[in-house]
Amino acid sequence: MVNKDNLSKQDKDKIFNGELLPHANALYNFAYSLVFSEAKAEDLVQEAFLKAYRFIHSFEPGSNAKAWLFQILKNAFINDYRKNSRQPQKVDFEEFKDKNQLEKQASSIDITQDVYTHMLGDEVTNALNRLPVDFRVAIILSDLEGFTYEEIAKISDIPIGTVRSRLFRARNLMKEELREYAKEAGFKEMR
Amino acid sequence: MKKSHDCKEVVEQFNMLLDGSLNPKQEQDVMCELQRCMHCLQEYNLEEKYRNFVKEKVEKKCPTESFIGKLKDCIKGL
Repeated sequence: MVNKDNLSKQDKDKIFNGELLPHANALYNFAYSLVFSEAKAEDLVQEAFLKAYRFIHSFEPGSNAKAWLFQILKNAFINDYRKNSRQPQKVDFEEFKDKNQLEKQASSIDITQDVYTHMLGDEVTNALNRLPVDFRVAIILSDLEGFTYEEIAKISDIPIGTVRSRLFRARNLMKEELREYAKEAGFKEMR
Repeated sequence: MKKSHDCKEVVEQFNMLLDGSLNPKQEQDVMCELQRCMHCLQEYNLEEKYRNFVKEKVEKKCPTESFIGKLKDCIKGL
């Protein structure tokens, strides 16, 4: 059995190339959605991979490499960008003014068939990118990357209950953005 | 006795179902509840459609090949 504290360079490279590197595309997409800059996204991804390589002995081959990498990248983002550069929008859920209204609308925000048929990727991407960062991250991790509540809780360092409520609000905000777009573009309201 | 149908609870449950967070038995229970209420079934179908729509339409950014090459070189040099 290989002593994980004394992995050879060859062992490390094998794990890196076989289990970590295949997630580069998803990781880059996540990084870009946090910083909206190709150069900064590359810096973040590189930092995350280098950190993962440094701590590769703590990774259990065959376990969830993607969630581990996303967690490392999210932490790097918080350390590098939240403190120093342009402060991304912070969400204070308690101060969220439209909270009650939003919850009342929960099951009544729907998108018309026209929108599903005609809305372009750019417009949907813009709607997502307009969301506050914590909501955006929730949608990316769940709806685009397919992480479970448990994995999102670990990556985002929040309780599972918060994951669920954040997803609920994030999706409603996203639907609201799409509906606003639909109205402006002249699509018919379904109800 | 069969539990009374609570639309709010079913909406919450089918969201968890779509998020892949229910076990097979719970999934089956939700599907049964959906068959009992047209309104819930309609909401479920709309939500499913919305989820697929977002997944399909949101643009995914990919790293350049040169970046991946640089990254590999970086790791090789460690």
